[in-house]
Amino acid sequence: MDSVSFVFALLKIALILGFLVTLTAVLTWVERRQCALIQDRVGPNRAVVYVPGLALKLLAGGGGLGLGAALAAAGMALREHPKAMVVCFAAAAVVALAGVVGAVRVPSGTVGIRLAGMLHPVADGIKFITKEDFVPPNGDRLLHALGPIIALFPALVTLAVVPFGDTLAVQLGAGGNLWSRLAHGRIGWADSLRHYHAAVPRFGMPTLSPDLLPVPLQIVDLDVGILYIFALAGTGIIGAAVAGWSSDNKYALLGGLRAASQMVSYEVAMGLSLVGAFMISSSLRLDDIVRWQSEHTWGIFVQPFAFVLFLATAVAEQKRTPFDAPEGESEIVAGYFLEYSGMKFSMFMMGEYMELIVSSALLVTIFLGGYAIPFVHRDGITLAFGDRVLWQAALPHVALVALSVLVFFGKLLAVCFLQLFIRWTVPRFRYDQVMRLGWRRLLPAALVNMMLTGAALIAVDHASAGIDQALRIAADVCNAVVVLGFAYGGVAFVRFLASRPKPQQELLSTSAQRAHAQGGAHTSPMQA
Amino acid sequence: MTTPTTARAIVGKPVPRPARDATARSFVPEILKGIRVTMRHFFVNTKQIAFDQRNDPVLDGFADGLNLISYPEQKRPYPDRNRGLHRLLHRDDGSPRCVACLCCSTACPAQCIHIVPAEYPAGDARRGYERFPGEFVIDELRCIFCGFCVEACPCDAIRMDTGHHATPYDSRDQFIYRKDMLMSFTGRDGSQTTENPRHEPGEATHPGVDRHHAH
Repeated sequence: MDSVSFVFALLKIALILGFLVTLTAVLTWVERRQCALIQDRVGPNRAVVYVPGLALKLLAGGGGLGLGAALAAAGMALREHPKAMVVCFAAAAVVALAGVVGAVRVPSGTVGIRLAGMLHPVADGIKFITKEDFVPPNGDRLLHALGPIIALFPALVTLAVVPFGDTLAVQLGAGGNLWSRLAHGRIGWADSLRHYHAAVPRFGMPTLSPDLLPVPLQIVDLDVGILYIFALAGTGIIGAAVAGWSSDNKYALLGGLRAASQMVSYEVAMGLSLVGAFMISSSLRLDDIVRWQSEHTWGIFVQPFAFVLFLATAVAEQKRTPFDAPEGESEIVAGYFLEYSGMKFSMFMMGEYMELIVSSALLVTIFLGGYAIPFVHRDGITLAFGDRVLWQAALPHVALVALSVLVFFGKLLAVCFLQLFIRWTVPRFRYDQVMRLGWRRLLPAALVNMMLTGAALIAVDHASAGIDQALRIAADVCNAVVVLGFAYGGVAFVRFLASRPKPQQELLSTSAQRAHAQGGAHTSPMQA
Repeated sequence: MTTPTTARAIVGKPVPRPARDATARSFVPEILKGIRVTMRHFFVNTKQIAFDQRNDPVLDGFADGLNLISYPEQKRPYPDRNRGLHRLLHRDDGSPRCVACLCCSTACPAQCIHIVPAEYPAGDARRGYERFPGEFVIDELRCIFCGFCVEACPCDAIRMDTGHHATPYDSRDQFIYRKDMLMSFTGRDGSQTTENPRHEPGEATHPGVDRHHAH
């Protein structure tokens, strides 16, 4: 591995790990806040840091004016490019104005900063670190400490094989080395990438020419791909089982056993539910699966049944509601992490949320197109049904790669959000129901799905030549459905935001009459 | 003796059972329906918070959305008949209406009212006609807010219409409310007097009934 690839690998690891840890903390907040809002409560908003208003005023005003001055200076430096100069000056004006307005609007006196409750994960972190690390006197000290580590580790490393963006190609110039070109300031994104379309094919991997360095946006591109994820996720079971065993507590042991048996059971159906997707893309590499979806259509349209199966088994693997049999206050208290406190407990919770993120990433990669966007390819937007091209527009390479990264993380967040909703919507299964559902419903269903997919693939292979074109058009129709669905959803969302139903007021009680006379129950500024 | 009724077959109310067809047993459509409900709550409430359109919890209590009172930033006004902290009402001259008859302390089931009656000084028109509370003490920690003292008072001298609930303190002494404090409270309309007229000795409306001048 040359130095360039090494540095890129480190950057990618830093990006993914940073994203994972940050999102884990944010998800703990989202989960609590979301469940509160579903239940018509406000949720966590009481963690507060008090800051003198004057400091905030100075920060907002000084920051805005400073940034504005910097932007204005940049605008002056870009005098040769009138468009860029105008943009810089406009941005400078906006930033400075925002700073001044913000400074004026900060109330004087002490200001409580709550960030809509986002300080709660911080408070949780402080609490977890400073709490007593309790080990049961008759428990196994070593295994008790190992349990959370084993549970957290697979969740941390499985994202390594998930591609989070289209391959970035850096043009090095003839015989050039990236570092020397960087040193001479001639990396030239703009000019080199304008000619990029000719150098790389629309589909497949970019060609390896000496002056072109492909940087796959994926920490490691393993041929075994998804098998690596399953292999590592399988070790998470050991963490739960070991934690339950070492705690010297009957409830913890029962919880550990439940967790282990549930995860083992659902791992089978989970793996088998994805076989259809592998057969269709004829690869285990996640990047190939995404490229197949980019060329054709999202996996959810070719494997809708597997999507449901995978979602159900993924939720069961995370041991989250409705499959939270390993923990249950009324049966076995907190299950296998009953005897854990402080940071060890929080490692279990972090592992759970990271598994949620990983399973969401898998769901996005295999069924929701990964980083691919319908009708968007390496060379820009091509609105086509089969061979009929309706509209085409070229886009610069860097913009497309950046868009693909944004789209991947956006999809990931959306699926995480959906999984949290499942938790707050579906009531939990009893333990025997979990087992019955896994072995007697999901596993046969996964097998049937596999066989049907195989039969369909054979049928397509032996069909007449015309079917290929028909399938291509069908795939593009599915893509169009996605685009139209998003457009419809966007319009509906904007309409929802704009609507403001006026509630019917009921002044039946004397307190309501008194509140009405006072002009409402609002007395002091509301907190988010 | 009751006559035995003829035995009748018990007819239960037919309860419709949920259908156990394939769609219900696959969970998927039902889960989607459930998510639709939870999402509606989530988005309506998030929008209310984000755009500061929260319902007034008292006035819009029956509407969709966040109808909870964020105490202490928001408070629900007490209803008119709320029994709050006691107050002693004033006469026109600012002295307490109380005549120290001890009706309230007698009626009090919690025995939280302590009154030391005092005589008006010699020469006062009210001497010999009525007394006044030299000390009037209510232990608000003992009080059970039953309102019997207000019912018992023949002079409309004590009321519980301050609109303040019992305040939390950090020491028992602070719950001992004495005459000055009780007289400093106002009703919810801000007044310290009452509409009920008083007829002081010497006034034209005074019926002239006292210890020395019977009917």
